[in-house]
Amino acid sequence: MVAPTKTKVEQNDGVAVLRFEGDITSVSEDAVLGKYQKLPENTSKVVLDFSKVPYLNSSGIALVIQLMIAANKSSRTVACFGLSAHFVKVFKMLGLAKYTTIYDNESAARAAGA
Amino acid sequence: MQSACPGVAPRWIGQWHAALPAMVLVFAGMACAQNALYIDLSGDWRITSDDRPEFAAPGFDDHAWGTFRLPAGSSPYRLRCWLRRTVELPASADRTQLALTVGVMRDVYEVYVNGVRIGASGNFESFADAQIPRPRTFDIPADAAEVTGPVAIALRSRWALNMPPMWRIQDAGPFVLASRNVAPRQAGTIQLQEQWIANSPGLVFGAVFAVLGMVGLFFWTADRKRIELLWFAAAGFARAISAYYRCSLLLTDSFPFVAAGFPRLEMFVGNFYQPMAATLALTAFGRKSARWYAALWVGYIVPMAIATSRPQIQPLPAYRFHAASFDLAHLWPPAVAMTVVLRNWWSTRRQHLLHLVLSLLLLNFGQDWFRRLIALVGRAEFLITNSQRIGAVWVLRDDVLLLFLSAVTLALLQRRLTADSRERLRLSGEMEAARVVQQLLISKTPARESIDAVYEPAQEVGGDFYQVIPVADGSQLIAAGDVSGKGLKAAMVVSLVTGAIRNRQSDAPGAILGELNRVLCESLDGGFVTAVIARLFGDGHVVLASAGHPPPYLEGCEVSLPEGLPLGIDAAAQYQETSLPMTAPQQMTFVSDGVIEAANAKGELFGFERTRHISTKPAKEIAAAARAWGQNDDITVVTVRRAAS
Repeated sequence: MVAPTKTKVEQNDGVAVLRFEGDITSVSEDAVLGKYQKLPENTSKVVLDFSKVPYLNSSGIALVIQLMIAANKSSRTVACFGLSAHFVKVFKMLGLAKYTTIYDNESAARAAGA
Repeated sequence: MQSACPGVAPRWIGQWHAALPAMVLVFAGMACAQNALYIDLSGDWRITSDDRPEFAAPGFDDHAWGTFRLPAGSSPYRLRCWLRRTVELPASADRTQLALTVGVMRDVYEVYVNGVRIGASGNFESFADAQIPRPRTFDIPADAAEVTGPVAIALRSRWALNMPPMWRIQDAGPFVLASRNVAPRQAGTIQLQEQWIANSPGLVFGAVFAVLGMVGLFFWTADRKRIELLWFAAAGFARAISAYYRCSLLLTDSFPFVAAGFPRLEMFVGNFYQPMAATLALTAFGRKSARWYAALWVGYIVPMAIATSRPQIQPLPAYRFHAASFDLAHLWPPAVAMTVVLRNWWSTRRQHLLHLVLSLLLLNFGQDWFRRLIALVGRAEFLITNSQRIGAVWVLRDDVLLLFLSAVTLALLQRRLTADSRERLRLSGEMEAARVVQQLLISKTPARESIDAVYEPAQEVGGDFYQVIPVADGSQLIAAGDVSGKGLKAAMVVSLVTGAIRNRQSDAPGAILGELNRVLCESLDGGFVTAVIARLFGDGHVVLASAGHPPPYLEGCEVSLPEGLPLGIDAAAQYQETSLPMTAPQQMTFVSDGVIEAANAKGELFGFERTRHISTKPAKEIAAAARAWGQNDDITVVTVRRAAS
C-alpha cells in the first residue's frame, strides 16, 4: 500500500513553499493540486520542495505538471529544488523549463525572481 | 444423631439427589450387617460468621453460635463461616478406622476433626484448584479421633464466588461419620458422572464453535483479503474456549493435571470472543480506519487488564471495582460495533441480510450488554445466569442463539466470497481479452531493418506502446511511447494513440507528434503521453522528434534531443526534429521509463547510466535486466539494427 504524500505549506510575503514528503503518485492529488488550490490569491510565487520525495511516477509527474500549468495561467512563477539528479534530468527531458526553473537549494529558489 | 438400623434398603436408580436417601439406607444396612459404625450427621449444626483458628479445637464452647440445618440449609453467612458438630461414639467403635463424608456444599471448605485438619474441597486463597460441589469422604487419621470422648467436627467454609451457575446446586447430603469400610464413597463418583452428562451440551457446543472457526479459516485461505473471515474464525475459537471453560470445574475435578490456570486462560482468551466478533463486524463492513480498531481494542484491553490483575481473594469493595472493570471491558466492544453497524446501515442501505444477521449477533451482545449494565449500576455481581436446565442437561441460551447466528453469518460471508470470486473471474476474462487486443494493436511486423521488441506490461494491460510502420518511400517509422498511469484507462489511451498514428496526415516525426498532441489535448482529462518517433531512411540517416520520452541510445550513447513537452498538455506545443547518421551495423535502442525507473527493494532506481550501459544488448536482455532489478511499471524495449545494404 502506497503511503499518502504529506504536504506542508509555508507562506510568506506572497511566496508559498509546498514541502512534499513521500512518493508522489496517482494518489497524491490532494497533496499536490489540493494544496495548491488552497493557496491565497495574492500568492505570486510557488516554491516546490522535493527534498523529501524519493520517487515520482508518471502519474505523479502529471499532477506536478498540472500544478505548473495552473500557476502559469495565474501568472505565478514556479521554482523547484531538492530534486535528485535523476528527476532533474526527467524534468528537463519533459520540457518543463517552460513552466519552472530548477534550483540546487531552497535559498536560491526563494531568491530567484524576488 | 445415631442412625437406627433400617434393615434392607431399596436399590438406587435415577437422579443422584433422589437416590441419596436410599444410598444412606443401603450403607446403614451394611453397617448393621457388619456391626460397623454409621452415624448420620444430618440435622442442626452450630454456625458463626467469624473466622478464627480456635474454632477447630475440640473443647471450644460453641453454645453461643446460631444453628444451621444440614443438608440444604440456607445460611445467612455466605462469605465465610464455621460449622461445628460434636458426636458421641459408642464404646465399641474402632476409632482408628473412621471416615467422614461431607455432602454437597456450594462452598469451599476445610474439614477438622478434634482440631486436626483432615482435608478440604477447593482452596481458600485461589480459584485455581476449584472443585465441583459433590460428596467427599475423608479418612480420619487414627490420632485425630483420640481414644475416648466425643468427636468434634468443624467445617471452615467460604462462599465460592467464581462458581458458575450450573454448579450452584442445592446443598445435599449425605453427612455421615462411619467406619471406613461402609462410608458412602460412591456418592461423589455418581454425582460426577451426573455432572458430565448435565454439562455435555457445553462440550458439544464448544466443539461445534471450533469447527465453525476452522471452516471460517478455510474460507479465508481462499481469499486472504477477506480479513473478516479470519476474525470469524478467531471468534469461533474464542467461543469454543469459553464453552470449555464453563466445564472447567468438571475437567479439573476429573483430570487434576489440567487444574492450574485454566480459569485464567479463559479470562485472556475465552473473553476475547466479544472484541473479536465486534472486529468481525467492523471488517465485514469494510471499516478501514485504524482509529475504530484502536478504540475497540484499547477500550477492551485496558479494563480487562485491570480486572484480571486483581488478587483472586480480596475484600468486597476491591472485588466490586475489579468486577466493574470486567463488565466495562465487555460493554465496550458491542457498543463500538453496534455504532458502526448502525452508521453503515444508515449510510449505505446495502447488504441488508448481512446487516440483519450481524445486528442480531450484536443484539445478542446487547442482551448481555444490558444485563451487565444493570449489574454495573445495581451491584457488582456479574454472574447472572442465562443457563437453562432441560431434563438432565444444562444448556446456555447464548450458545444456541450464537450458534445459529454464527452459522448464518458464515453462510453470508461465504456467499460474498463466491460472488467476489465470480466477479474476479469475469474481470480476469475481460482483461485477458483487452490484453490480446492491445497486443494486436501495438505489435507490427518488422520490415527491412532488424527490429526487435519486448513489451511487458506491469498489469494485464499496459500504458506503453510501440509501432513500426513502413512508409511508401521505403523509410520506416518507429514510434515508442508511454501513457501516464496504468490499467484500462491507460490502455484505452494507447488505442487512441495507435489509431491516430496509423491515420496520420504526415510522415515527418515532428508533424506526427504535433498531430497526436492536438488529438490528445482534446481527449485527455489530466495525465499525458510521452513519445519518441524516429524515421529511418534507406540512405542511412535517421530523423527523430521527442515529446518528453526518454531519449534513445545509439551504439551505447544517449542521443541528445531537444526538449519537448509531453503530449496532451499544451495544444500549441511544437516538436523539433533532429537528424543524425546511423550506419550499419549500428543499433538504436528505445526504452520506456519502466526500464529507467525499475526500483530494487531499497528503492534504488535502475537509472539512466545503467540503461545506457546495457543499451547495446538485445531487447530481451535489457528488459530482463530491468525486470530483475524490480519492475514497477510497464517495460518496453525496441532495438533497431541497421542492416547492411
